Order: sequence, then C-alpha cells, then structure tokens
Amino acid sequence: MSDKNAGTPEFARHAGEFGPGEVPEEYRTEETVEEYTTTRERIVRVLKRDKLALLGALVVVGFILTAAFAPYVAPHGPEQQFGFMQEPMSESTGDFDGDGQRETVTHYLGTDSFGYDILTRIMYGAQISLLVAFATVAFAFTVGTALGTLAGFYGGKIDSVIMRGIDFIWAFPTIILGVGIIAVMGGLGWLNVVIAIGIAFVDDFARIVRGEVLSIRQEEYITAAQAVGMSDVRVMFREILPNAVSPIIVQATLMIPLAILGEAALSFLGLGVKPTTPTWGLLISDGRQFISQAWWISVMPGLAIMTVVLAFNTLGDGLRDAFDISESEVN
Amino acid sequence: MSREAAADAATDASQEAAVANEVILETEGLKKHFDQSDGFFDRLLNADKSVKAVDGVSLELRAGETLAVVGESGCGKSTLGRTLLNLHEPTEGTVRFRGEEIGGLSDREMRPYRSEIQMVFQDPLASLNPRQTVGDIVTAPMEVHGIGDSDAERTRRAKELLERVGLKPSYIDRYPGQFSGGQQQRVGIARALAVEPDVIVADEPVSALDVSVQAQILNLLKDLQSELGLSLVLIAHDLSVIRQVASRVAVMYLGKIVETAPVRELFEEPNHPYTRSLLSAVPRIDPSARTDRVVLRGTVPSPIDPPSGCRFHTRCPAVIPGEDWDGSQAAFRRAFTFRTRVEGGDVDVDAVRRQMENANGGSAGDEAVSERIVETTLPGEPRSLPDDAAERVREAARLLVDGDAAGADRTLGELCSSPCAADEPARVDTGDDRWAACHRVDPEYDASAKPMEGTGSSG
Repeated sequence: MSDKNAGTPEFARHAGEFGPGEVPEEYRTEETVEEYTTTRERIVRVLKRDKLALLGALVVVGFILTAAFAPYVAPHGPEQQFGFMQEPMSESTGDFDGDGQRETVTHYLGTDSFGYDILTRIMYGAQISLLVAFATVAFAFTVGTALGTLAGFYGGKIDSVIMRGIDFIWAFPTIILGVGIIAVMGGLGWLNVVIAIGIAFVDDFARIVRGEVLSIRQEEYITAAQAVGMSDVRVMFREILPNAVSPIIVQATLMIPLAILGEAALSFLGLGVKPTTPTWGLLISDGRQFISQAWWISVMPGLAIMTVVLAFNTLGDGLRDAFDISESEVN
Repeated sequence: MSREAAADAATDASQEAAVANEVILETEGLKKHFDQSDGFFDRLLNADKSVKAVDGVSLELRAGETLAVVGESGCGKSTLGRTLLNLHEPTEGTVRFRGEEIGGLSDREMRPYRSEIQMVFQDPLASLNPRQTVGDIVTAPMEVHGIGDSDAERTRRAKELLERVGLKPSYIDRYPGQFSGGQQQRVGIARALAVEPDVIVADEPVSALDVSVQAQILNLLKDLQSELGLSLVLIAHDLSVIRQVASRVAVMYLGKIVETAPVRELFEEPNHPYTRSLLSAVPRIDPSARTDRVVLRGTVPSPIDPPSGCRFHTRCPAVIPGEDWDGSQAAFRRAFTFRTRVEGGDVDVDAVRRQMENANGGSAGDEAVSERIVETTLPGEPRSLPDDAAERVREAARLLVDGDAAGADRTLGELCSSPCAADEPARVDTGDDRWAACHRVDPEYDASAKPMEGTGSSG
C-alpha cells in the first residue's frame, strides 16, 4: 500500500537498507489514480477527436431542434397555400400574414402540387418522421434488450424459444414484415407504424444483447453478485446490462436512419400515417406523379432523408470506434 | 523468528478454541459432477462422461477456525468452495449450515443464508463489476439484505468497512480499475464483510497477488477473523500461505479429501504420501533442508475417469506391493509405473517403431520394438526388478507390440497387483483430531511388511 510507504522506514536499520513494504526514494511515486471514463465521457471524447462524427452529431441535433420548434422556425404554416408547383427560389406576392399589406415571400425549396411551401412541409414532416424513428428504435431497444437478456441469462429452453421467434422476425425483410403487421392490426396512424417497424427491428437488438449477456454472465462479478444473494432481475439489470450498453447504443444510432427509411417507405406505400399529415415519405409520394414537371417536390424531402441518414451513420460509426466494437458485432 | 513463533502461538490458541467450538458448516458425502455428455449419441451410448470435480467430500468447519483446503490445480478445490455456497447445486450429499441443510436450495430460500456465508474470489479485478464504484459494490449486499435504513446510512457503513480493510474512506467513489491488485482484493473482502457473515469462503484469495501484498491480505484476513469471530474456509494451493493462517488443513486430491489435520501436525508429520510430496515441494531457502524431496511423476489422472481404489495410486511413491511381489517396494513402484503407463494408453507402439526405423534407416523387428518400449517406459533398469517380474514386463511389451493391449493389461495386472489399486482406502483416525485415507496408515493392511525405503530414490 503506497500510503504505508510514507514516513521513515521502520525496518531498515542502516542507510540503504529497506524492509518489507518499503521502497527506495528513487522508486517512490506519487499516488496516481487512473482516470475512469464513463460512457458519456467517451462519447464526448470521440466527438472531439472525430470531426466527421461531430458533424453528424451537429446535423442530427439541428434536425431535432428544427422539428421541435417547427412552428417557430418554419417560414409559413403547414396548411398555407401558394401558387402550385413553383420552382425553388421563386417568390409569391400577397397578403400572407393577414395584416392587410402585400408582401413578397421566397419559396427556397419551391411549392408542391397543392401549393404548400416545401421547406415548411419538410420542417413539419421532420416532427413525425423523427418522432416515429425514435419511438421505433426505443420500442425495438426495449423489447429486444429484454428478450435478449432473458435468452442469454437463462439459456436452455427459454433461450431456444425466444431465439426461434427472433429468427422468424429476422427471416422477413423489414418492409414486408411491416406491411404484414399493419395489415393485421388494421388502420393507419403513427403508433401502428412504430409497432410494425419496431417489431421488425427487435431481432437486431435481441441478438446483440444476448451475445453480450452470454459472455458477461461468465464473469466472476456475476458469481459474486449471486453469492451476495441478488435476485435474477437485479443481476440482469444492475450487473449485466450496464456492461452491455455500448454496443446497444451504437446499434441504436445505426438503426434510427433505417427506421426513418422504413417509415418513409411505409408512408410512400400508403400504409403509414394519415395521408394529409406531412411526413417525408408522404411528401416524396405526393410528388411522384409530377416528377417530370416538378422534380423538386420529391427530391427535396428525399435530400432531407439522405442528410439525416448520413448524419446518423457517421455519428454511429464514430461511436462504434469510441467503444471499440467490431464491425461484425453491430451492423 | 519471533514473528513465526507468535503466529504459531496464535494458531495454537485458535486451535484450542476450535476444538471446543461447535461445527458451523459441514458437508457429508458431497459430490459435484459436471455433465459432459452433450449430444444425442452420448446419451444413446449411455457414456458417463461427467467430470467428477468433487466426489464424496465430508468436511466440517468449526466456529472461529480457519480450515484450509489444499491441493493441485484441477483437484476440485474451487468447485468445492462454490458448492459450499450453493453456487453449484450438489449432485449428491449434503451441505449443512448450523445443522440446516442448504445444498440445492432455490435462490429465494438461499437468500437468508447468503448473509451468513460469503465468498472472496481469486481474481480481485474480475470479481468486481467494472462499471460500479466501490461504494456501489460494497453497499449492494446491504441493499439486498436490508441492512441499513437509508442510502446515506449504507454509505457510512461502507466507508467504515473500507477503513476496516485498510482503504481510505475517500476511495468510495473510485472504480475497481483504479486500484492495485491488493486494494481490489481489500474491496472484495469489504463486500464480503458488508453483510456481517459468520463464514467466509476465500477461493485462492492471494494467488493473483504479488508476494509482498499476499502477506498483507493474509494478515488482514487473520485480523478480521479474530476481531469478528469469523470462520474461514481458505482454498489455496500454496502451502506457505496455509502455514501462515490456517488452523486446520484438508488435503484434496482428485475430488476427495485424503487427509485432514491441524496445521502444525500436518507440517511436522504428514500421514498421507500425497501430503508428503506436497510438503516437499515447498521452496526452502536453505538447500540442505531440502533432502527428502518427493517428486511426483506423471500427470494428474482425468477426473472424468478417476483411478480405481485409492485415486493417488497411479502416482503414489508409497504404493503398497501385492502379496506375491518378492522384490523391494521401490522396484514395485517402477513396475507399477510401467503398468500405469501401459494401461493409460501412453505407449504408442507405432510411434516407437517409426522412430526406430527412421534412426536405423531400415525395418525394426517386433522384438527390438518391445525391448525399446521396456527401455523407455519402465523407469530404471529391468535388471533391478526381480527376474520373473522383468520377464513378465518384457512379455507384456511383446503382447503390446502384437496388438494385444488387453493381454498386456492382464499380464501386468497379475504382476503388479496392489491393494491401493483394488480397494478404496477408508478414513483412519491417525491422531487427535486428524485422519487420513491411505492404506499405509490403515492397520487392516499390513503395510509394514513392505516398507517404503528411501522415498527420494523412487518415482
């Protein structure tokens, strides 16, 4: 113990002799403590180092803020109509704010076939699209982690039953499974979309968590926890899961863009939210008929999807490096 | 010197206390087998491929004593320790805590006993959750067992515990990775103490630590024991560790206890040949004190298929010759080693033949090959065996070369019959509070007729 080394030696009787537990002056070191890095600190560190990941994070935050404050930042109301299919950067003149005076406004991204301002619609669409994406991943995260933990922790029959179910989900392409689930549940609405895509994503989380739990379960601190008398639930949630969190976080970041695409695909197919709600998928769908006359109606929301998907992917890759997780573990 | 004497005096005192005290933890015929047969065909063939890690252990731990369990690696010590805590469900036999059966209880039923029996692990870092602070680790057992009324109260207690095990209370917010090995083990001990247990099972608590730190941890355990009246089960493979802290020692070999004795008597006069060879392996500074080394040859037999009779007979330097053996015990030991190797399938006839052919550049006759097998497999010269025995050994080698392994086994079995291989030795009391399971100490076997001469020369 370094604290016992301080002070005059008790055992050494002559200069240059050292008793047990004593260290010559030149080898004595100051007490140093290795820095412990929490998950949050590691994320911050990687964002500082990896500029691409930082850019991704900034874009993601930008989109989230825009969606949250859409009524304040959007140039117009979502239902406000202008001339049909105006080109990007075109202008409209008229009394739009109801103050009796005519003013000129610019449609930076043009207007669509109903005369809605596309920039405004994309901002409002971000609300639904991002909300659905986060809710979907949260659903898949919760269910998948719970199933994976149970399967990995108990093994045996429970493991077999759960993992065969997971295999069943895994065997279906996401969209086909989503379409099937919505068909079974009937009706449209964002909650149905969340559950449909969420179920399709459960397998990715369950597999990763099960693998992590299987290896962590062998650790001696789990035996120690059991020797202390902790219940299985406490062992799973307090001892095992905190050690399995890094790959799950990375997986979540990489699943969000897929959820956005999934929601867009379902909306495009007319199985998503109600047709009048602005979501990115529906905006693309609306512009489909007019693609030869007004390309911007479909392309602009498409660009928004592309940007946010790319941003999440670079952020996820950065986190993957930060947690030193192999490509094969998370996909 | 004075330190050693003081330690001995302390051991004496605790011995006396232990004799008077009640039995706190007790096992009877405890077995833990691990099933290895994992597959349809294994079950179809009904192959019993279980690893008999603990195979019939009867032990008692008395209040306030330190019982050391010692043995080679792989002998089942750690499994025994975990079975004591019901971390492994016993295959057979009982574990009793203060007379109450705890073996095989469910987690829920076991919980009240968990605050009475605690464990300290071998690898201090691996036994501490890397994502929890020392405070979390030490307070968790209190939360589980409802000790302390509030988090603040528990944290205060955790700080006291840290101080008690020689750590600064301010370390409470640090993570295990920030400590040295010795400090980590102190945290592990603090966790075990958090529920105020009566018994601590320490599974090789110091073998992962530097020698200088080992002594500190052992002294800490000893101090805590006398302060708190703990009973300790100390699992170790290092006899110098045991000498320092144990009051009684149980020597384990291949899943069985072969000898138990108070520590001083065991070191002064070991009864079992295995104990003797373990003791002779303790490094000594003075080379002249190292005269009677008993080197064990051969590998530890597989716990899947342990040897018949006395499990140690395959390696035992003091194996008892059969009645019709007319040579010396040392000669018998050599012939017996030959038998063990042949029976164990250690002799590869084809390899010997190929080697000879490569060396000679020609073919090797059966006779030459069997001679070579005797030469390489039999320790010592065949000449030193009684004449008929040497002839039988050669005959067995010839049978082996002819491909008649069963015949070779039979010939050697007749030649080297030994009560050690035939009968399982019973527990024999060999003194006050000690026993051994060896035919050598059993008055029923007249081992004195074939005494073991010069242990150093055998093997």
